[in-house]
Amino acid sequence: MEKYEKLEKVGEGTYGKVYKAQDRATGQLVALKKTRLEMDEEGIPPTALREISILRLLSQSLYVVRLLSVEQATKNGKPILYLVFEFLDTDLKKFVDAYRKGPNPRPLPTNVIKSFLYQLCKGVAHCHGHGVLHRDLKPQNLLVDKEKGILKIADLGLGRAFTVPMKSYTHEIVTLWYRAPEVLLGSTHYSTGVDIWSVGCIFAEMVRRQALFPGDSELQQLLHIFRLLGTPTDEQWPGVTDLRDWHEFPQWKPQILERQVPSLEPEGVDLLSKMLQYNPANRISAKAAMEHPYFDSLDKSQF
Amino acid sequence: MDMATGEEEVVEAYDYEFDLENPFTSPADEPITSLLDAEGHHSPSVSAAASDARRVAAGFISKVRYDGELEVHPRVAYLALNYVDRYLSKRQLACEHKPWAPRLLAISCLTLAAKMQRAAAISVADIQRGEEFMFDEEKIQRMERMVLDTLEWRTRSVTPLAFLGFFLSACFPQPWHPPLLDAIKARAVDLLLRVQPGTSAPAATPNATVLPLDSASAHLLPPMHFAEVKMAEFSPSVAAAAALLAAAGEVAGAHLHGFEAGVAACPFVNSEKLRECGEVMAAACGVGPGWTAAAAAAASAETPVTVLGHHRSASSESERTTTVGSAANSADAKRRCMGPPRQWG
Repeated sequence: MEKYEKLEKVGEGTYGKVYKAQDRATGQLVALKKTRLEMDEEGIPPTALREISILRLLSQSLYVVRLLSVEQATKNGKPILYLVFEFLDTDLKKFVDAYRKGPNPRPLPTNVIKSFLYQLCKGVAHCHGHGVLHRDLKPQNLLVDKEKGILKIADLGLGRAFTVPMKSYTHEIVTLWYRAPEVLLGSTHYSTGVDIWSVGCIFAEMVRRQALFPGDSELQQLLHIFRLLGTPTDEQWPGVTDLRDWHEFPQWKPQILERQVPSLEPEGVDLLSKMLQYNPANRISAKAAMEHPYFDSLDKSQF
Repeated sequence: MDMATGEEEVVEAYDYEFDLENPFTSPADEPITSLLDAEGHHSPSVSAAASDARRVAAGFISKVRYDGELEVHPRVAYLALNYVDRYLSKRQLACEHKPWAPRLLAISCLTLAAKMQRAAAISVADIQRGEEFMFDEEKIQRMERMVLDTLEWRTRSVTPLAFLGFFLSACFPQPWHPPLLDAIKARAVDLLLRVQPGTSAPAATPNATVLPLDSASAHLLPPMHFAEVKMAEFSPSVAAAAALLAAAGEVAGAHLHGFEAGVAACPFVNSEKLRECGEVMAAACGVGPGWTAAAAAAASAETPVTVLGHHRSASSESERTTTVGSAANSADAKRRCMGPPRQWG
C-alpha cells in the first residue's frame, strides 16, 4: 500500500473506513476502501470474489464509479483487501442538501435534474445489461463531480459481501426510502424493477429536495407508498396479495402525483409515474427511460 | 449426475441476482453490445491455447472433471479452464524449473471457479488424490491471489454460455415452445462443454502432446484435438451461435432454417467465422451438416453422463480407450509435465 498516500478519512462507509488518498506516482486522487474482509481458511471468500468481479465488469462505464485496482496487503500476518476507486468530491445527497439548506435555498436547476437523471438511467442500464442489480440505489450512493456535472453510481454489488442486512458498519440504519414495494412485501424473485423504483424515488427527491417516501420502518415505508399511490390491488398487480409479507392494509385511493412534484414538467411526471408502477413488470426499463420524451430537450450527445 | 437437475440447482442458487450466463431479461434489452465489447478481454490467445503449460493444466482439469467421484460441475471445469487460458495469455509459466506449476495453476483456477459458480467448495485434498505430492491450502491460496491479480479480478468471464439466451430470444422464430428452447439450450451447453479447447479426456497417445498451430497440419490431428486449438480462434458469441445452430439442427430441425436466418441477420455475427466454427464443432462432436439423422438421434439419446463424460464422436473413438480419471491418466499428465525439455518448446 506504499503506492498511496492517505490524505484524510472521508467516511466510515457502509463497508469500512474510506480514505481520500493520492497515488504517489501519478498524483491521481483515489478513494481507498479498506474492506473488513478476512481471508479465512477457504482463502478469498466467494462473496467478495463475486462482487469485486462485478465491479470489475461494470467499471468500463463512465456512469459507474471506477474500481481502479484491488490491492492485497498484509496486516498482522493477515491478508487484507483494499479497493481503490476513483475519487469524486461529493454525492447527490450532499448536493441536494446544499440547495435545500444552504445559505441560498433554491430548487435544483431543471437541466441539472434532467442531466443527472439521464446519467443515472444510463448507468443503471449498463448494470442491468450486464445482468447486475444494484439493489441499494440512494442519493448517498450516487457520487457527483460538481465541476463537470457528472453523476456516477457507487457501491455497486457490494451488498452482501460487505454488509450485515439492516445495520451498516457504523450501526446506522440502512435507509428504506428507496426500497421497492415488492422487496418490502418480501418477494424473493425481484429483478431490474427494484432499481427503477429507486431511480423514481431519487428523481422525485431531486425535484422536491426532500424524500418522497421517508419511512422509518418497513411497515411505515409501505404505508407511505400506499398513501400516495393507493393501496395496490390484485388487478393492477397480479400476485401482490400472495407475497410473503402481504396482509390487510388500509384501503387508500391513489393521490395525484403531480401535487408531489409541482415544479416538474408534464413529461417528467409521466416518466416518474412509469418508474413508480406497482407491478414490476410494467415498470419502465432503464433503457426505455432514456428514450422518454422528458429527455427530448437534453443534448444527449454529451453523454 | 443428471445434467438437467444440476442446472436447476445452479439457477436456484443465484436467487437475487441474475448472472452472466443468462443476463438478458428480454430481447428488447440490448446489452449485447456491451457484452460484445467485453468479450475481447476474455478470450484466450491462440498461442496460449497451444502451450505446454496449458495442456498440462487442461489435462488436470479434465481429469478432475471426468472423475465421477469428485462431482466437479462441468461448468466449474469450463470456467476454470477459461481462467487458465487467460492467465497464460498474460503470463508465462516457467515449466522447466517448476514442473508442478501448471497443476498448481489448475487447482487454483478450479477453486476460484467453484467460488464464482457458487458450487460446493472443491476439496483440494480429493482432487489431488493419487498425485505424487500435494499442494497445501496456503500454497493454493497464494496462487489464487496471483491468478486474481493477473486476471485483474475479472473473474466474470464472458464465455459462450453468456450469449445463448440472447441468440435464442433474439433469433429463434416465433412462436416459442419453452421446452423446445430449453432442450436446444441444454444441448448447446453440452456441445460447448465438449469442444471447449483442451477439455477432452486426456489421451495416452504421444501425438496428442504435440499440437501444431497451422491449420494445414492441424487436420491431421484427431478431430477433438484439432477442435481444441481451433475453438480458441472463435469469439464467444460466434461459438455460442454455432453451438445453438448445431443443437437446433438436432433437436428442432423444422425450425433450423428460420433460426439460421435470424442469426445471420445479427450484424455482429461474422457468417464466415460462424460457418467455420460450425464445421469444427461438427467434426469434433459429430453434429451439424453431414451428420446423419440416425446418428444424431443416437447421440441425443445418450444419457447425460455419457454425453458429458466419456462419449466422443465415432471418428475419434479409437483415441478414447483410456479409462478416464484413472491412475494411468494422472501418471500420464504428470509425465507430460515432467517430460523432456524439448516438449516445452
